[in-house]
Amino acid sequence: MPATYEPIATTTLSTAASTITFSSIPGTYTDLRLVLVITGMSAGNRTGIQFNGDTASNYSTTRLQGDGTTASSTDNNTNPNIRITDVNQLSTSLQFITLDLFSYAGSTFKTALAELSNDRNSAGSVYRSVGLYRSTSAINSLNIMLLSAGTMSTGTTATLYGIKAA
Amino acid sequence: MPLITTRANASATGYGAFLGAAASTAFESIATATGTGSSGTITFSSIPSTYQHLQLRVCAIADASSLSSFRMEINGVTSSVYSYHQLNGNGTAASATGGATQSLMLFSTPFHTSHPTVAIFDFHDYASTTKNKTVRAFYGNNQNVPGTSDQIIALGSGLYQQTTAISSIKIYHPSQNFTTASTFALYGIKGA
Repeated sequence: MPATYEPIATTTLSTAASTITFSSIPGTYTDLRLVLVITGMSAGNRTGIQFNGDTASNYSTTRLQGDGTTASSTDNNTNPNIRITDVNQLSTSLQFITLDLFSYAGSTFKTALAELSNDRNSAGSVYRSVGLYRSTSAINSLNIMLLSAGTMSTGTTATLYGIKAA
Repeated sequence: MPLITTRANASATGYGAFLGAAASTAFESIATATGTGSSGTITFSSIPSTYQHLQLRVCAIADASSLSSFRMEINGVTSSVYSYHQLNGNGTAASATGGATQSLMLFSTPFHTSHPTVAIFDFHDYASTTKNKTVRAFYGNNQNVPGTSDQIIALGSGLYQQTTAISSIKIYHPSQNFTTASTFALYGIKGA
């Protein structure tokens, strides 16, 4: 049986940054998985994902979330990114995010599943979301971005994995 | 070669490290099926018992749009040994559904002809011969249509009340076909 879960690239921020970009992603896998640990970000900010440098409104996201009190669902349609979070974050809150991107090298629209866990010891939230990128182009770059001015803190790590089917 | 860049707030700064494709044997591809365009059923059979867990990853496009479900049967069993629950969000509200003493597992989701429905199913301790089996599902579909049944994000669980090892998995759409752009990939996850 061939090994099928492989790291493509990883980074750890040595200085605060507003974006992390993976480019020249090979098209040799079936799916991609992004694992992102944000050690903190500017208060009031949110996280989004873009592909292939496309900043047009070709993205949409549907979320299911719980904040310790209430379960709810929200969405963003015809949006310029897949919006992983829709909650204002504190500058010191740790966020754990994974994003599974299916058939990223194919010629259909692209759908992703994302998870976010963010606990702030009396506040916080858990999110699950499905994101759509309405493009039939193969994805060769992925951009993690903040939706408002600000930065992700030093120590933030992002790793991109490839998952290859037989 | 893959590149990583980060952009600092004021001045552009490149930073990153490339990890080569490290061989690993903990997560292995067992089998992959693609849709045929003329069938809505995918069956993985003769699944080896040599792993600790299984993961089925699905990217499905149907030949017609519908609000329907992935349906699943284990080991060809169609008696009332299944139950399931799901927690849903449609962009407007969260809801929950489930079923007990069922003849299959059911995971409700929309399907579309160009917007893939995706899913990850995890089968924990699937080879045990002493435990019932639980399936964890994470799935959804988004059609860029606000607040309707044309988009859903869901968490699901399924119970198969049999202690026999799982050797086959049938996943199917009740009335439509999966196009040739659909992929169903089964992976094995090894224990130590």
